[in-house]
Amino acid sequence: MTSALDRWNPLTPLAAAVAMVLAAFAGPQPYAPVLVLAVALLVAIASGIGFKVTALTALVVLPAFALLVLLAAAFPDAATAQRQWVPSRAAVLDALAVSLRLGAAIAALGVVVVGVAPRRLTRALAARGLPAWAAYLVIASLEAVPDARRRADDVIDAQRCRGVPVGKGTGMRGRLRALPALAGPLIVGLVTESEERALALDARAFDPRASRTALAPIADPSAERWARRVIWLALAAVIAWRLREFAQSLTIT
Amino acid sequence: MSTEPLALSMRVRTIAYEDRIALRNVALDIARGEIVGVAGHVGAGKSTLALAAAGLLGRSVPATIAGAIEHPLGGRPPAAFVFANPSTQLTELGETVEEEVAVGPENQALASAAIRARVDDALAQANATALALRIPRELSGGELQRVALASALALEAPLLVLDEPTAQLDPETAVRFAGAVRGLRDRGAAVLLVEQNLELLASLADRVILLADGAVLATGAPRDVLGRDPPLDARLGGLRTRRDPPPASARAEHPSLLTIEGVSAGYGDREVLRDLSLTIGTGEVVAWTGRNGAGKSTLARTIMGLVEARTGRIRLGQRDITALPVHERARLIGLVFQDPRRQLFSRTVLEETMFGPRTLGLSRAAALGHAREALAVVELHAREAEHPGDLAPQLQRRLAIASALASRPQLLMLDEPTAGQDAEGRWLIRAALELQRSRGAAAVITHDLGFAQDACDHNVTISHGHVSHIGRISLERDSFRR
Repeated sequence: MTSALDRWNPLTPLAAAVAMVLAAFAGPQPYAPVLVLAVALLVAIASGIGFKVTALTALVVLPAFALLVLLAAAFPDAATAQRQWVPSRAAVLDALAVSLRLGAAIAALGVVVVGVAPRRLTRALAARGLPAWAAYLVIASLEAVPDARRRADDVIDAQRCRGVPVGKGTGMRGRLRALPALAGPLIVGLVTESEERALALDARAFDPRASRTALAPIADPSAERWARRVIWLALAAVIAWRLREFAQSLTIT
Repeated sequence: MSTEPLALSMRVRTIAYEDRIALRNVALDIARGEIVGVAGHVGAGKSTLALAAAGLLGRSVPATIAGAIEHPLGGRPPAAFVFANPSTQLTELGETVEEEVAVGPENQALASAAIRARVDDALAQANATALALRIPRELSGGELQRVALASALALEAPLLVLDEPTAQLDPETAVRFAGAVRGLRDRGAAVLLVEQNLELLASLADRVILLADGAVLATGAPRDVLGRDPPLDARLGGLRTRRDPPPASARAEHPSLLTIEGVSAGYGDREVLRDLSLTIGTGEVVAWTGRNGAGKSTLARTIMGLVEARTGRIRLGQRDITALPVHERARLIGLVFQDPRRQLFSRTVLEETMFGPRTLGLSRAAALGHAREALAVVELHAREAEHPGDLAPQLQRRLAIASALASRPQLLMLDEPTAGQDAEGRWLIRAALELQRSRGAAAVITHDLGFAQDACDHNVTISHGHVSHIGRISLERDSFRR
């Protein structure tokens, strides 16, 4: 999958996303998370991944907000204990504030997860000294689900050819009867595949401790390098400001 | 004996997996610029020898080696390896074919320009340049094998170990591959080639080692080892003493069993079959041949209903099955995939063979009868109590064929059934096809033109998603010598 973000060195969106997450939590509330959420969604839309990032964010934030409101209603503080199952306005605002921060973080990181090809990201990280084993771990983790899905599709096809009914119109009994025929080859296949993958890597001179080079190194223009420096400096400034505020509050107390 | 420096020096007393000795008393030297071939029946120890020669045994594959295996020329890695199953070659570190081929040189920490040169050269040698930007997991079996070859060639290791490298290659690519291996030898590489295709082995190898039951039976020049009396098959277990299967019936009047009219099919936006029409008559055994990626497997999947026919009609006998669900078609049609591991799950070989008939509603007694008959045809009846996972890959393939036969379909389709099979395995698959002929018809997707010539009535060539030729199979026996 490619997106408009693939024009950048993957470290730049990654740095921006990490900075945005920290800014959402450390910046002035509730403006910082609202701003971060808006910027992240705008970037996602501009990069052609707006729907996926919005869906991902909503999928996490809406249930979290509902859960927080429910918790506030079920376990009210002492002052509002008599109004059971009706959350206070303050509790709803608290839930909204937490959900906004969570949403900002998910949206910012979602832009990187959805918009940056994992192999480009690991290649860029490897160029910065990420060991080969860590790069492989990242890719293997990201590919685990699609790999298992592909293998499951293959197994389903093979067993359908032997008369196993699968899909719409198959009753619960039929599904249960089909389970061993589908799960058996899938599980054995996944275990075998991991052993084969280790053999394939060994046969291709893979050394988990050694550094690797790349067929097409990821370009890292000086403008992007400077942009990342600015991002880290800004982030350090925000953190320092928050620490200073925290120290002052301790002195006043 | 060559005076060139050695790329492999192997002095092995035994190689064992847990308690089972797979190979014993092997002394093998391979010099630069030398091709050594390895032949033998299934279970003879060929793959063990290949893995040991590549230095992979005892590391990635648990095994106990008594003896010494040295690679005097060094290298990282000292040997490149091409696996019999090309999907085993994939590391998944690359998103496209060229990135996958580049994994080896990247691990060798070469500069980008050097990696690019290696990748382009390896892809060209493996006839895979056109696949460079494709996604490996979307390739056909034969295309994947070309990528596997390129991935190994890109390492430019002093020793190249090839385990059944042409099993899924179309004849044209296999001939190009033979030329590429010669080119490697001329450039000073040492090659160990495990191959069931004795014609290829005889044309390429400077020396041949013949293995039987984990020991060296004979070694020497190909002409001496492969061509002397009694013939090789006889020395490997009296195979030539068998009665040949009944001769393929002359093409007479065959009422149509399968009729395909103007079928188009594909995956997503990619159209693979284009307005394809063909028929198979009752009592026919037909070979479907064509280049890798021509659409042969997609044709079988479309007939089976796994891929939807976008246009056209498919009839079996008088019945239109175009819209019939797959599990209903399974009563009429059997399909055996290239990789039998997709389907094996039962605790015993017998239960695995009974699964199809039982799923289709046969009584246990009837399914048992069908299963035992099918296992006898492929000579696995003596192993009916064993776990399918304990069988060698070639035997698993025969088990998958028996499982399909046991359901007694009217039409049986086999996808590359002879890949990796020795002479005995090929003979047994031919016997299975003859049994199927008596019950309906069969289609064999194959690049093994020798097998197609012996076992099939005629050949349907698939090219760019449609039938380009129908006729008798003509085989150029000396094609590898060019």
